[in-house]
Amino acid sequence: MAEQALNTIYTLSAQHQRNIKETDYEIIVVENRSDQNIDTQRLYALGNNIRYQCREEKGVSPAAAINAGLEMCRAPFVGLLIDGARMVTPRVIEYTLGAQRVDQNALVIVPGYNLGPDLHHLNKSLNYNEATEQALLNDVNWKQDGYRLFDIANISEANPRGVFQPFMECNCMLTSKTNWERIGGADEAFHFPGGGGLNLHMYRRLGVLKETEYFFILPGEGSFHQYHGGVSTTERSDREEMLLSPRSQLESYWNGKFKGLEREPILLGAVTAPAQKFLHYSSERAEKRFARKNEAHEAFWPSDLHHARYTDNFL
Amino acid sequence: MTPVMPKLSVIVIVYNMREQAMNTLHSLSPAYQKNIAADDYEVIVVENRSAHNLNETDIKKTLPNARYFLRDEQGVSPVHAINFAFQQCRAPMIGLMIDGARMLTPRVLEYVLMAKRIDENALVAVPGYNLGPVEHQLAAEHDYNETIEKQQLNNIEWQQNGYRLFDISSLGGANPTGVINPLLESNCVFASKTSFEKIGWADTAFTYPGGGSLNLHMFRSLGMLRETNHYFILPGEGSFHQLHGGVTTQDARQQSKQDREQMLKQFARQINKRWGVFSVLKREPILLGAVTTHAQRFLKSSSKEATIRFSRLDENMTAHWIDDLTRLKSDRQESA
Repeated sequence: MAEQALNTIYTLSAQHQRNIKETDYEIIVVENRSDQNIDTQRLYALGNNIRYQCREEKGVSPAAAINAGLEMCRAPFVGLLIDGARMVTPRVIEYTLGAQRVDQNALVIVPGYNLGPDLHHLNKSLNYNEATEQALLNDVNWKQDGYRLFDIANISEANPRGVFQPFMECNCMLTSKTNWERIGGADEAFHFPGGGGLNLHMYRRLGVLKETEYFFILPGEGSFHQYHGGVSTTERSDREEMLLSPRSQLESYWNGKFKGLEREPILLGAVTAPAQKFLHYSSERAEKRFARKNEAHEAFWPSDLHHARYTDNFL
Repeated sequence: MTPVMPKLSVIVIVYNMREQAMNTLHSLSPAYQKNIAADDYEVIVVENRSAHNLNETDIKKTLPNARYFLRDEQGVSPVHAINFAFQQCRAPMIGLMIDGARMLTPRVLEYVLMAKRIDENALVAVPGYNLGPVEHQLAAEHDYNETIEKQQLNNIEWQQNGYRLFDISSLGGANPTGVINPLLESNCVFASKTSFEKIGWADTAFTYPGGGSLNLHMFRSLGMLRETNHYFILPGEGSFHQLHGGVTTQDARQQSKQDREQMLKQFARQINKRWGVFSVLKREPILLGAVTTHAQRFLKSSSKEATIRFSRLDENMTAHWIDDLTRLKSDRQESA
């Protein structure tokens, strides 16, 4: 995904990120060698805060690469993008540092979207490919205004009902380095392609840590998946079957009770015009969920019950 | 026992509204405000003497971290009471509630302290709502009165869950199109003590009843300060106006429509004189805080209204948040 990764790193660079200095953060790029590695000259041209490691990987999971990346990190706060094909909007880093000032162990999550009209594993049926995506990206002139990505995107499978419903996972999540250590980094037993359920597992583990009192969502920011033939994001007839084994692995870790993290999110950040439709949709879906929970006399955010901070768990 | 050095001082100005003010003070109490300790903040209650003053013992029972001052005021504006209150504040961050009849939701103070951790000069605005179905100057026309309000407050048991206040309320006149459109003012506004000092505290020229446009003037002044880099709105919190005989919100039966219009014209003239033409603060708000089930309908309508406004501005090729650009421009000029 050399081209997609360069887009992603551009969006993370100080050229694209606002209200932040290059010296405030570092971008660690870890690549498992393939026949299409990133052009390092183009990579380093994106900023002076980029460190790159190309490594040999015999397996098909990114787990070991993640751990290599975590080891390279020098900052007390670490963001993980498990999939290099995800572009981000311009104030992700600014708001993350804001959340870090609120609490050094805050968990910050950026909602996921897919570029294009629908989920990427439906690409063939939609006749959607890298060329059509490139045309869309050109149309919105995203380098001038990264929020225009919302204009050509649809909501991700990880958070299909918006920001007020539990996420299954997050492909751009940020928390303290200590929290990453607390969960033991990336568990390399997740050996399936793409890590299988690894990202879901790490997300939930970070979210239920007792030290993670503050759970932030950035409602006006996003991480946007570019089409690149990823493991679970390409249309194939055996997709369901292929996902079965990773799912059972994940369930085995959680005694068959794995589910999305049900914590009340603290919103942080402005919401620009292009992102309003998703905020409106989120609010609509939230009302439905709350009504259903009310009827069933269930707590809205059961994962919060183990934390000390008061949250809205009243009926 | 008051705290040695609170992080936050909250000013509540009271005049002739005993019952409503006690509700407000309860909503500021450590028992009601969540995720914050009594020692973290102080509440400065300044009352201009009337026939219905508060009882200091009752206040202390509700709010152990309150300091109460009863003063005599010959004028009709709260401006001197506000400046007196500023002098009492010991914390580096100050909240101003110009009207003691406004109850709050339970995490206002927690989120203000969060905003302060992000930026010590943050400006934090809490959106305003009216208890009941309409703006309070229209209450009589809609057969809404203090008895009904009291009944509704009892029904929702607001002391148990303050977010239920949203269930019996309507959007306030200062933010009629919600929280993502420009606010005219905020009746529960927080900024650093330094910022209040920079705007010259409360301008004593605002001598009209209720201060006239004083609160609007202060809100815009704070928002346009060079130091105010972060402007937060709390989308899931609110300040809820209770029906009482307030200057701009009193019952139409007590004030003719003509008198009210006349009074508002006077207010407008004064503020326009100050600003050339006064305009609401058009800065992009940073949302902060959770949004409970009770507040979702307001967030949903806010988002819808924001989209309508953005489309209109796009059609006219107008910036969405012109005051952000104005500030940036003057910043650059000053730097140059």
